[in-house]
Amino acid sequence: MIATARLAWRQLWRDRRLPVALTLLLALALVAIALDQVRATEAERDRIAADTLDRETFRTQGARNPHSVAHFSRFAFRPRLETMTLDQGVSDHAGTAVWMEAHRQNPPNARAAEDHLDLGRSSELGLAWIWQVVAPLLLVGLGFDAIARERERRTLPLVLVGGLSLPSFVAGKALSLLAVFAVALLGSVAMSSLVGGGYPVDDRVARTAIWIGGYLGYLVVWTAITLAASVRARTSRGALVTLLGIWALTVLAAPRIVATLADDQVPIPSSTELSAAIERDLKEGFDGHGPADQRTKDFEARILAEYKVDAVAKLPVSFAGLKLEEGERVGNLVFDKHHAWLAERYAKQRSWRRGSSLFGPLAALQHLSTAAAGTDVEQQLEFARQAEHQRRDIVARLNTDMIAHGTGKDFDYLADPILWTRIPAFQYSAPSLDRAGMRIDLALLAVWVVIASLLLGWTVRRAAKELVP
Amino acid sequence: MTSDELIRTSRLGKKYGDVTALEALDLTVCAGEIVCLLGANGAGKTTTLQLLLGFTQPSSGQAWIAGVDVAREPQRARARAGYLPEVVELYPLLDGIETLAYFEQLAGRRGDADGVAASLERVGLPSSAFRRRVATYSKGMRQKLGLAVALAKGADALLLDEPMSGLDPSAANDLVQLLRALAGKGAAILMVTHDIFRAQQAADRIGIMRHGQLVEEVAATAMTPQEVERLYVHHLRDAA
Repeated sequence: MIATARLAWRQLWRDRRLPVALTLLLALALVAIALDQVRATEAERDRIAADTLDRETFRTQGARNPHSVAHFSRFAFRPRLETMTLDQGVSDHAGTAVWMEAHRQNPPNARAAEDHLDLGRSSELGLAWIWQVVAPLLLVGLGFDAIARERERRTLPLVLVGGLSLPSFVAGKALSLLAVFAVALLGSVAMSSLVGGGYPVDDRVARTAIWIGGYLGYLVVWTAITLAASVRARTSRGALVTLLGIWALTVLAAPRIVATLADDQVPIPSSTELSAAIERDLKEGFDGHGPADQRTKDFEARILAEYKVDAVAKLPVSFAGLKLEEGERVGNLVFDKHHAWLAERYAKQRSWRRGSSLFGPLAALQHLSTAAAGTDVEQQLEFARQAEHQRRDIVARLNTDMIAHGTGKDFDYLADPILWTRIPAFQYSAPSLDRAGMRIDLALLAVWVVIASLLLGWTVRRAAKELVP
Repeated sequence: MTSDELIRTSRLGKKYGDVTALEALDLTVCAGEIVCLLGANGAGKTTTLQLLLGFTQPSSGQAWIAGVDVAREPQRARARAGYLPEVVELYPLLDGIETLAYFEQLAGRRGDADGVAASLERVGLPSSAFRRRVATYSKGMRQKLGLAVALAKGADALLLDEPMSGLDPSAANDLVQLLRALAGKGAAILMVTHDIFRAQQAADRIGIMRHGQLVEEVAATAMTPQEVERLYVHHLRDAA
């Protein structure tokens, strides 16, 4: 097996396919990493500058009414994780900053793809794209004739009489292909680690290992398919045409068709549509809560009864503060309802996209890859959830202060500036691996590895019975 | 079956659909013996070799290499055989040493350069060609390298498909001498050829095949090349 692998490397090197493929893979990886590094450096510089300015402005704003401060509020920035070089995922198309203010759960904005249209266009040229799209094509280019050409030039019978079984010979060829691509894969990951930077992730090693494991599985699938076609085809040209067809269908066509179907079947509302739906609920009522005017009247009556007074002016606390807090409570219920619905839509879309796993392992790999890199939709939603948690905490602290100290002054009350320094800054925490939801995609990928291996085994066993047409 | 019957078939047959490629072939090649099969294209000569190597399944009958049933244990049977195909292309980007070293390694040998070079010399490949890529070889040189590959593992049974093809008269004569020497050391050689003169020169027995049947089997030593040719042409005419 080793002798066969060595022979294959020697031949692939001499017919220049191996150096060309390796150079192309590593050069593309280098360009992708360099581009990413430029973007990462710029994004982190901007984030740190904006975050510093935001903290300083918030801290030094002087004596103000807490509710004014709740509207002035702050930004929550999503840092660029150190694992993002592996797969940019949705990061360039998802917002990186949330404006945290009273009464509103704002969606993340400041999308990299909007800020850098020129780089945004090339954002597909990432490590993930190279290994998902380019690598299988190169693997086909290196392996389509691995067995078919041996049959064409009559060396296959010599090898079989020489002492190798067909399965061992095919295993040697598989080893030669896999080893080349595995080395290039590890090389590209090593390059990205050397130049990488960004926000530290606790489980970086485990994430990178899962990422590499996923791509190795993907390469095993493509190696098995390539060799099965090469064993099955009568000519190497026939094998090449078949494999290019499989590549075009499974890598180019199927994911896009399924993504379009997913968008059609499970449409995601725009942020404007979502805001309008939230406003409508707040104004007109929702889930047993009446319209806004009615809620205000009911709340006032409830507070007066609770404090056993007959007028707002007689309350021992700031009614404006209480009303603001109630507004937040009700608003949060509406936000939770709509964002839970939105998260459910995203999950349904993901399930739809997983449907393209019927055609190949790419969908599972893409989910696994972005999840491991921390750039999938779920982890973007997690950032929004953390930002929302922070927003609620800030608003609650400000309302509590106003309720306690704003009695009789309401919006004329000015809080001590020391209050601003007591409000903690947003600290993003990357979700742990077990929350990244990779199990289904790992399982799907494993199923594909098994299917492709069985297909190759069956093809080889069948061919071994009748080696001569 | 005796232990020196290294190549043997019994009622061996092969059909491709309605076409009979080989029918009820009974053939034995013992240790130290060279048997040549003569016949027109499509007579079943190459099919016989393919069945003996387990590259295709027989429709009827059985074949054994060194007592191993080929259909049941093809890999074990092949392990006892050496094979030279009719068309030898080999690996154009490797040189002669690298090519033979690979096949020696497959046979479980070291495949070191000195040993490989000696094997190439034995089949008459010029030493200047050892480190040249096979792509630059003439047909005769490829044939010699192919023969070296067939001999690489020192197999008991040799199955040679047109081994003289592409060889100049001197090289063909050398090959005959080499085959005789191998047979002298106990190898059983089954050779398929169109070259009546070399067949008569090399073989102990000659079989003539027609339409998938062995129609005549004669002792080569008892006949002159002209007599073999007359017999062959006679059967060809019958075939026509």
